[in-house]
Formats: sequence, C-alpha cells, structure tokens
Amino acid sequence: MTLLQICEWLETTRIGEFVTQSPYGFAIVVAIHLLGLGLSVGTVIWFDLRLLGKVLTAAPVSEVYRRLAPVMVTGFVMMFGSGVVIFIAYASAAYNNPYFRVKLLMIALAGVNAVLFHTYTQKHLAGWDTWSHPPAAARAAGAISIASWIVVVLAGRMMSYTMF
Amino acid sequence: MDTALTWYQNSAVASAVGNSPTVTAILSAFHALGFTFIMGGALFANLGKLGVLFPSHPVHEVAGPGSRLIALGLVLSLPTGLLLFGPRALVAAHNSTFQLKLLLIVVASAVQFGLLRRGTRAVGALGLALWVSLALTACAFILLE
Repeated sequence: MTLLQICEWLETTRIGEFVTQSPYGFAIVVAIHLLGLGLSVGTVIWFDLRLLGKVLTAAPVSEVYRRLAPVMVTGFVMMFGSGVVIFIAYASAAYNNPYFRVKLLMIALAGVNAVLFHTYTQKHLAGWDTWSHPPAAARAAGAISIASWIVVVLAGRMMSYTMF
Repeated sequence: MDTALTWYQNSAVASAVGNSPTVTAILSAFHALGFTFIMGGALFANLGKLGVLFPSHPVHEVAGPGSRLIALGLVLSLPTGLLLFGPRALVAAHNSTFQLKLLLIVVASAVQFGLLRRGTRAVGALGLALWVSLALTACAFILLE
C-alpha cells in the first residue's frame, strides 16, 4: 500500500466522512483548529519572547513557562487533534499539496527545537532562570520557535486556497 | 453606502485581488497571522489584568506588551482584510456575521486601547470576552457564509 493509497483510505473512514458529509462537520473542526491556533501559537510566542529577553524580564523563565503552560497545552491539544481530523478528511489532497509539506516540515522543526530545549538547554535552567537575557542557546530556541510557527500559520492558510 | 461599495468592488485593486487566487491566498495567510497575534496579545493582556497570569507582577508588564502584539496583529489583519473584502464588498457588507465582526473589532479595540491604563479585572474580563467573541465570529464568517 502506497502513502497515497493510505491517504485515500483515510478519507473513507467515519472520521473523514463526518467532516466531508455532515452539514457542520467541516465548520466545527476548522473552528476548533483556528481557536486552538490562537491559544497555542498565541501563547507560545510569549514564552519565546521571554527566552529572547523581550518581555517579563523580571520574572523567572520557569515561572513564565509554568503560568503559560495550561493555555499553551490546551491550545496545542485542540490544534493537533482537529488538524489530524481535517487531514484524515482531505488526506490525498493534502498529500499532493506543497504548502502541506512546508507546514509539516516547520511543525517538525518546531518540535525538534522544543525537544532539544527541554532536553539540553533547560538542564542548566537553575543557573540562568532569573537572567533578564537568557544564554544564546535559549535565545536561539525562542527565535527558531517564533519563526517556525509563523511559517506554519502562513503555509496552513495557503493550503486551504490551493487544496480544493 | 452601496455606491461606495460598488465603486470599491469595481476598482482595479479589488479586481486584481479577485482575479488572482495566489494574491488572495497570500493576503489570507497574513490575515490569519494577524489573527494569531491578536489572539495571543488578547489572552496575555487580559488574563494578566484578570490576575490569572503573573499575579505577582505589575499589570502593565503584561498588559503593555499584550496590547502591542494586538496592535501588530491589527496592522497585519486590517489592510489584508480590506483587500480581501474588495472582490465581494457588496455581499460581505450586507452579511450580518461580517457586520458583527466589524463591530466587535471596533468595540474590542476601544476597550483595549482606550481603557489600557485601567488594568482592572472588569476591563480584563470585558476585553477577553470581546476578543474571544471576535475570534468566534471570524470563524463563523469564514465557514458559514
């Protein structure tokens, strides 16, 4: 079974048909996706800006993360969950769409960046938690995160105009 | 009103946008980026005023940057929105969801920027409710028109 055949099969599943066949399926799932986007990317930006030393410089980095995490996690769960459902419904169109590939690459970059930050950079957080301007590795993580999420948003919207 | 809308819909700018799916897609992409910044700024500023985020820090350290991100979002969303509006100006202007969206932009901006210095919980709650309503109305306009 090729990837494209898997995509075509996904579209015939109950989830795929809920989105494409029911009167409000598409509208409900896309609305959740957009609200999730606002909650997740709209919040992760603030943690990234703190890493860059641009906002809340008097607050420890760990406190900024702890305070933002509930909103951020809720948003990412909404965005990824609804994103998977939309993909299932239009999998073969997405598979052939260049902006979808850019979007996936940028999500992967943002993911790897976050994993590297939490695994390595954050290990020594106690040493720079209260610094108004965190070390270069942390600032780089913040900049990469903002840049990659901006491209994800732009490519995501381009998809909807080039897929259907 | 309809004369002005017809003039705008028939203008060279509106035709250029309407005749180019690529230009429409690019404008829409930056419109969505503006939406993301507005939502991010609105959550940060107003949850800050409500004392949910960073209660031990001065409100202005949260509300100020939050409002600036909303302003950046509006700088992206308003011009791109005006250009996207062009090719369907007459239909959109008579759409009640679109009218509500415009009203919410004006009222939410007035509350956010007019009452910026009043970092009270009530202003935070009102601001948050208005921006979230705007986000829901924007989704409804895109998906149900």
